[in-house]
Order: sequence, then C-alpha cells, then structure tokens
Amino acid sequence: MRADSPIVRRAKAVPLLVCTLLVAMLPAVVTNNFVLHALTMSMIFAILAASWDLLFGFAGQVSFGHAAFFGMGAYASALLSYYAGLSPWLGVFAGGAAASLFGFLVGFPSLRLRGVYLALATLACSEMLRIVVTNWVTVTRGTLGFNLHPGFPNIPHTPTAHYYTIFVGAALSTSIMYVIAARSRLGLVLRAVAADDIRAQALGINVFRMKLLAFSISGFFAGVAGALYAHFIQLVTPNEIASSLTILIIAMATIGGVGTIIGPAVAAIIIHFVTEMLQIAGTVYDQIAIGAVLMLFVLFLPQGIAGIVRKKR
Amino acid sequence: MIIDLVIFIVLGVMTGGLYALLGLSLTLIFGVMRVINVAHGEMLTLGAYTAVMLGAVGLGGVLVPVAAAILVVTFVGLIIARVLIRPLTVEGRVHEQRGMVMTLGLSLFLSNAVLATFGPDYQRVPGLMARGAIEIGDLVIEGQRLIILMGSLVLAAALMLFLRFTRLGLAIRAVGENPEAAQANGVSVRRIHLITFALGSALAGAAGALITPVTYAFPAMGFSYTLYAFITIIIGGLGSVWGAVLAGFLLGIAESVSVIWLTTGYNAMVGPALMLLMLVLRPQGLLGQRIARA
Repeated sequence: MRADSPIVRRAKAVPLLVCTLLVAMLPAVVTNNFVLHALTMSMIFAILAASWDLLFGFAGQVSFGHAAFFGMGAYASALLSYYAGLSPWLGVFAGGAAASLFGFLVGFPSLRLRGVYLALATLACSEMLRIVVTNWVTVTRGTLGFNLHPGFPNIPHTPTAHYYTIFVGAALSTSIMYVIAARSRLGLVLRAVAADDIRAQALGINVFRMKLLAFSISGFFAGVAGALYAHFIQLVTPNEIASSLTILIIAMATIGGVGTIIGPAVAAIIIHFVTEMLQIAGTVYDQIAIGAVLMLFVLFLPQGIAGIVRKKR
Repeated sequence: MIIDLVIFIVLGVMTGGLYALLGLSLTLIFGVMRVINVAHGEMLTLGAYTAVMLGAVGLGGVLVPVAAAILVVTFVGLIIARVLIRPLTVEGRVHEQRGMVMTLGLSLFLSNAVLATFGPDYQRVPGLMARGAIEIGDLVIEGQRLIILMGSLVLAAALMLFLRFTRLGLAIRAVGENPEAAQANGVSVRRIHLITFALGSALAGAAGALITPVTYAFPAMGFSYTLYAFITIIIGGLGSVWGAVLAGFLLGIAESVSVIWLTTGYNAMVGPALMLLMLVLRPQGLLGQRIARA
C-alpha cells in the first residue's frame, strides 16, 4: 500500500462521501416498500462483508464461521430484550458484545492453526452453535424461530425509519472498521501479523493477542449486524447461522476485493440489492449467478472490484 | 446395556463406511493437489440426482446407478479440474486461498443449479423394491444400509488397490509426495491433477448414488456431507488414506453410540466437536504425519 499525501487521501474520499450522501437520500426517491426493504437488508450485508474482510483481508485469519457471529448477535439481542427487557438500542451493543466474546473464543485455535485448518475450526464452532440454537427449544423456540422480541422503540414503524436506522448503523460500523483496519496503528500491526507472523513476533508484537483482538473486533461488528437484523425483521431462525450465509459473505467480500473494507461493503450492497430485484422479475437463478460471478472473479480478477478501481488510478 | 452398546456400534459401522469413502475421496484430492474442495459434497449431490433420473426411466438396482454416477461425475470433475482448478495451479500446487474460495463459489453454483433444475422437493428413487432387513434380536439392519456399507467398502478397497498396485496409482502417489520430483521423472503433474480430481469426485458421486434410496436426494444435501468428509479427514489426518478409513468408522461409531447419553438433536454435535478437539489437540490427526501449519 503506497502512502498518499493527506490532500490526495482526502480527495480520494470525496467520491465515497458523495455516494454515501446519495444513498442516504434514497428514501426521498424510492417509495416502494419492497425496494426499501431490500436496500435495508443490503446495509446489513455490507457490515457482514466488511467485518469478514477485517479479519481475512487485514489480519489474514480465515473465518468459515461468520454466520455464527451474525446469529450470535441476533439471538443475544433478541433473547435479552425479551427475557431481560433490555432496550433493543442497547441490544445492538449487547449483541455485538456477545458475538465479540464468541469471536474471541473461536479465535483461540488460531494459536496453533492457520489457513485451511483454522477455517475448519471456525466452521466446527459455527455448526455447534447452530445445533445448540436449533435444539434448545425452551429458550430459542428452535426451528420455529424466535419472534417474541420487540422492534426498535421510539421510532416510527415505517420502512423509511428502519432504513435510516440501519443505514446509520452500517455507515458507522463500516467507517469504524475502515479506520481501524486501514488508518490506525492497530491495522498496521494486523497486516504485519498477516504478512509474516514469525517476523511480527520477533518485532515484539504479541501475535496471538492480535489475532484474538481481530476475531473480537470482527465478531463485534458481525454481531451488531445480527442485532440490527433481529429487531428489523423481528424473526430470528437457526437458518441465520447456516453456512450458506457464510459462503455468501465470503463471496461478497471476494468480489468486492479483500483488504479494502470499502470494496466488500459496496459489493455486498450491490449484490444483495441486484439479486433481490431479480427476484421481483421472478428469477430463481440469483444464487447461481453469485456462484458463477464469484468463480469468474477468482479466475480473472482475484483483487476484486477494488482491484479494477485501483488499476485505473 | 452391553447389548445396546453392541447394537449402536453395529449401526455406527453402517454409516462409518460412507464417511470412510467420502473422507478417502476428499483426502485423495487434498493429498495430491493440496486443494480444499468445499464442493466435494456437491459431487455426491450430482451422483444422487443421476440415480434419481435413472430411476425415473425405470433403471434401478445398485450397479447401474452407481456406474452411471461414476461416469457423469468423472466427466464433471474433469471439466472442473481443467477449467476452474488448473488456472489456480502454480508449480504443482493449487493456490490455497483461491482454491478454497473457488470451490466455495462452485458449491453455491452447483447446489442452486440443482435447485433450479429439480426443485426443492425430496426426490426418491422410484420403483425401488424393499430389500428387506436382517433382524437379530433388537438389532435391525435394513438391506439398503448393508448395500451402502458393502458398496463403500468395495469402492474404497478398489481405490486402495489402484493406488498401491498400478503405474497410474504410483504416479498419483508420487505427485502427492513431491510434484517437482515426479515431473522430473516424466510424470505429467497437470494430467495427474486432472485424473485425481475426477477420481475423487467420482467416488463421491458413487456414494451419492448408493445413499439416495435411504436418504432421498435434495438440493442442499451436499454441504452436510462436505462437512462430514472434512471431519473425517481432520480426525484421520489430512492426506492420510488409512487415517480417513479409520476415522470414518470411528466417527460413525462415536455418533451412533453418543445417542445413549445425548438427547436426539444434540448428538449432531459429536462430529463438529470431535473435529474441533482434534484440530486443537492434534492438528495432524490420528495417522497424519505432516505438521499442520500449512
């Protein structure tokens, strides 16, 4: 990554800022509730893809269990607001904290494991959480799904209000992740760990602690996404922890371009929105298309969309 | 109590044969190409739907669907290896992360392509005759499950013999050990990669044709078998052929016997929990030798 002067860096942020403002003004133009719903869900996927990228693209740790972070956040917030009466607004943070703790625990095998082995360990954790949630029927209602928790209080229950709530959550989460990963000392340290952890260790970095930290941060934001989802949709099912969601997240991040945070977030919004709109057109080929596009990107554009943008500059 | 234990062990061996075959075929691909094939279960799905289609035109039994599944999936496997995997191969090894993400995309593509083609319903093999069951006291073994076990064992044995006693098998093992040395001795590493991927996939396809009469076929069936194939080879040791066979049976038995202590539903935890334990305590698996810091 080459260093830009502060002015260039600020200039680069301008198109992004303009896009963000445009997206923020969308409800003024879009009046169709279904379209607005799809846009809102896209924002949730943006957080997920960005949080996966934080872990993989910066810290170099492969997670095959991201759906579990998402599900953990969703269930934690939903269950706490129903059983303990916690406000859903605080539940967003509680969900993030629960998923962060789960990420911390899932990260422990990274002490010994790398690459494929770590991926399989995270997958095992994710599957185990799914099985517990499915079978602990007295608390989670099992496969029926949990729908007893409240939606967001103190805001009008309109699609526009929901859109803004989740848009703000996504914009904040993604920006914080971007700052942590690409603009902070911590991000630099994480990249050093990813590049060569033995050398990083020799330079005095506590590699294991950094890996755990990366898992916790990534888990936190995926959990925030889950909690936002839980109170937006007001139904959480064990399907939210299914590995098909993890595959989707990895696909979005890879197509967007790993190691950029913004790329995966933008790609997630585009991909989810486009597939939802295709569903209006009655197609069932959306997932097939995502799989095909992912394969094409791995073959011809392993740097993702962000790679194309970077080349043009 | 002892009788219960024996019954559950026997039932565990029944599923263990299938796990062994799946693990064996996946570990063959990993051992030679160093690619983590997340789409392995989808090869099983393709084999299962081959059996369903044959059943629809009245061709049932065991041999015809299995042979057809092997043919179809070999063909698909060759295409995948040539078009999708070869471009990611550098100096005889597939790029680890790109290979993994590629097969993820493939898994998404194939399972949803099957969904779009055949619909979400469970498909049974029509016109299947009841094969009866063997009853010894409380132990009931359905004929079809016995066929799955025997079929898995025959295929696994055939693969072992092929790897051990043929020139091509020797070449495959050589590429797995050291691709540069194999290439230097006149073995085409590229060709061996194609053959290995097709061979491993075909075995998974055969497993699909074997199990369809019992489990039925449905579009998302592949992923859980991918997971169990991974669990098997992690327990046995990545790349270890005998480890996969041993671990397959151990996994089947552990899962079956756990029913005595765990309530139904929670016993599905046994596989993932064993994999996690093994990864943390002994990443090289029961019989693996490679140090697991790949």
